[in-house]
Amino acid sequence: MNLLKFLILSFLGVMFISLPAQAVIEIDITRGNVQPLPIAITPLIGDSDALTKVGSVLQIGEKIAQVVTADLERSGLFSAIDPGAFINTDNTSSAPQFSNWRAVGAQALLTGGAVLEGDGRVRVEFRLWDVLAGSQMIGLRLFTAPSNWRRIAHLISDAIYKRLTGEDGYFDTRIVYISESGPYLDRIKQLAIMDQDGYNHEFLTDGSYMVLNPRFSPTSQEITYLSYYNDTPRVYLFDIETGKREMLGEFEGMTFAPRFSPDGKKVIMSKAERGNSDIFVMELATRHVQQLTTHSAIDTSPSYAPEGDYVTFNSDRGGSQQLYVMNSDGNNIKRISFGAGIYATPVWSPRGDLIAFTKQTGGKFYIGVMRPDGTGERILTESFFEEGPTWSPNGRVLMYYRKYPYDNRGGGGDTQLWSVDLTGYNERQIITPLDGSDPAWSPLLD
Amino acid sequence: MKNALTISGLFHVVLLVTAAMEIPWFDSVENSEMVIIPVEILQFAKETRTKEIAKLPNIEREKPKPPEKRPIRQAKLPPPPPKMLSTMPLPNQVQRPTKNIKVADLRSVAPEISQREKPKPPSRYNSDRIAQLLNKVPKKENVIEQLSDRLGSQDQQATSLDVRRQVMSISSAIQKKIEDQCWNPPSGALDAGSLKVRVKFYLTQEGKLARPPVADDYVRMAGSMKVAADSALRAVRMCAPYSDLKLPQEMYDQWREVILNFDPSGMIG
Amino acid sequence: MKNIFHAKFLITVGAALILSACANMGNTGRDDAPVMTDPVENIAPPMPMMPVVVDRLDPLSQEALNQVMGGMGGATVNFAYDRYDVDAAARSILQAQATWMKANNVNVIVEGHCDERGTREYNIALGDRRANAVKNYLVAMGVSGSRVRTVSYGKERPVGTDQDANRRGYTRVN
Repeated sequence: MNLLKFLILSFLGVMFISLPAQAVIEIDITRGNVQPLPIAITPLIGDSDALTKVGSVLQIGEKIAQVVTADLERSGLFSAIDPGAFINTDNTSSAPQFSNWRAVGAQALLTGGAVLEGDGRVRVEFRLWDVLAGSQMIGLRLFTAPSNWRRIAHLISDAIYKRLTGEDGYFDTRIVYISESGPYLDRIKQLAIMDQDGYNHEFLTDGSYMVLNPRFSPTSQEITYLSYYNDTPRVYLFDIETGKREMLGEFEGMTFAPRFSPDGKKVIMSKAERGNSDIFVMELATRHVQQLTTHSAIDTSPSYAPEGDYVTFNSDRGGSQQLYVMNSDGNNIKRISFGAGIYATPVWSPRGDLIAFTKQTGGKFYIGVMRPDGTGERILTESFFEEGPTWSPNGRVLMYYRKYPYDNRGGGGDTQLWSVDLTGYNERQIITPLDGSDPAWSPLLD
Repeated sequence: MKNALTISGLFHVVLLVTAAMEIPWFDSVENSEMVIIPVEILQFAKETRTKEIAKLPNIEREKPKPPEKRPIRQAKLPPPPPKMLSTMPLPNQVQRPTKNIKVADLRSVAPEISQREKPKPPSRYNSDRIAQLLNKVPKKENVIEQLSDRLGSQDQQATSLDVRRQVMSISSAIQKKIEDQCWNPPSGALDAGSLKVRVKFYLTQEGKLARPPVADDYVRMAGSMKVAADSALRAVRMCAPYSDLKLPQEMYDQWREVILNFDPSGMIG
Repeated sequence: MKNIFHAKFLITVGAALILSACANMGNTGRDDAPVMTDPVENIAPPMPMMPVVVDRLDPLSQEALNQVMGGMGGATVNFAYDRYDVDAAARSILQAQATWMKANNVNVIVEGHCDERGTREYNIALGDRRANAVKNYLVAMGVSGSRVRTVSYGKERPVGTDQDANRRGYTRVN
């Protein structure tokens, strides 16, 4: 018996160490270096004699390349190669000299040109190349009025972002926010709007009354916000195209913390009446109002899930401010935040996977995310004071505002807009003409 | 040669008979301690030439599971270094300074966009979390050295083990190069962690790509899956040529054709 | 007056002339006892310009309300962190306010305010709670509810960097 055992085991042993002659090596690759993709962005070629109101077509092409570069760099997912390092700067419609681009470390390459059409519009063509494979990944042609060249640039950035990350971009978007100015005991707060990169800035109110909590409609055409017009704080609707303002309903108490439903047909908000704040939703077409919470605690900061089937909100019904989720009819209320400290301003990600929030503990403020069931909490940023995250339409970047401490000479207390992506690393300030707070990110424009 | 075949045939018969008669007993043996095994292997290896062993590819293919119980196999699974539990970010995270410089250049062109990054190093919260995200997989530096050390101590004479060892170090070398230098997994997609891609490529004897690498099902891919496949293909191309790995020429047959399974699930949660 | 001493004099002319000097030694490190006579002589000329302020007040003005407690602060009550209950100190102020309101036919707006260490939206709700706590107390003291309106400014109107002082209810004459 022992001999048999020995023989069999020996035989198995031979099997285990044997190898085929024509083997295919199969290797599992489980690690990599997540780092920005090196991309070379050439200035779009154009005719320097073809003049428009905003400069020659050549200049427009150059500016578009600069805006695309800035967009992609700001995302943290790309690193633009310094044009000074380019070996060949000629940009023709024929296939590029890939070896030259590979030599400067580029893995992706943007080439293209701009032409002035007979009708006064600018035609922009661009191609995105896979340098290593030597193949074209995108080729697109866009037309627009010359003055609208920034949108062309953002659309190109979005196309590149989508092709190279697999997610929709967020560059052709706008930000509405509260512009702040004046000394800290007498702040002027105005509604303002700008492109996601801070350009095309406009004030929407004059600052004679305070405004807060602006939010975009899903069409980006309307803003809902809290206005202290006539010293009577109520939720308003603002039409960006026409500038028309409208109070949303007449209530005894104040209404605040409004947000559109994902279909744009409703506005969910808090109403404070006789010291108690509950959550209500108003059908815009009929102005019919439905009360969703009836607790004696403070219920505020409601935000819909992207499908409109759930609402997350902030309540101190458990004794301290925490995050809750309920069905959109107000039933089935569940607490989801259980960490140390207090939680506020929950905002559901447009892709549904996360809820962003403000957290306050140990004298500091944090922006973080958790899954809608409350698991997987991750803190992304921290500072003396920060709050009010808003999601980029692709659910990858959060914008929020920070407030800095007062100094002892009566200064300080300034507010700034910041953004951070879900890695928590790519944190950047968005420069505004004055101070800024309460940012709200638009969906992708049409 | 003839002897080896005869012995092999004899064993086949014995194995079949035993399996038919006493399967339960067979199992019990499999599960017991097998201290003597390595010794037996060495004995057979002496008499057996690589090429003959190589004639059993079909059996070979079924083997991946059992060997894991064997002490020898441990060499393939170096124990995770305690480092992975620390909050230290991977070295590749130290890319911010360069970005800052580039960014600053841009700023002069478009001054109203701040490219200012966090002036301080990433907070502890961030590094903790990123380290957790990216450090899930143990660092395998010096894999080849570890392998050589471990294997070297166990086996001095076996030619077949030499082959095995060399194939393993070829695999490790390619793996290390791709992982350390070339693969930039897409992290943007919602389902980034679940995007597994299988890429096949052929190498020339000089270590160059003999033809473009191919990802399984590439033509049917779209969206984030395609982006993941692109990143895998880019990694293979980025790393080419593989001549710097000094892959052994006499074993070209072993590394002519390579399949890489790209799996970011351990890195991107 | 010597600059080394930061001296503030409050002079009120009433039944008697009361002079109170408050010398803030700060951290000047000087131990010299302030000489009271010098400053008196120096500031003597403006004394005729200090009438009995209360007499001049419009009885329905905000200033009048501010002085219901015998000085400044009669319009403001403070709250504890994240609280809206009216404590004993607040009650005595509100009792004075209620007495004053019942004697004078004025309407008021009660503002609710919060410190700046919280989120905007929650603080608006909390400010509303505080304003209504004040209103409820005034009503309980016999003031008609129709004369008291409430408004919450959340944390948007701080009175200073002292966050304790920012948590407040402020009664404003409408």
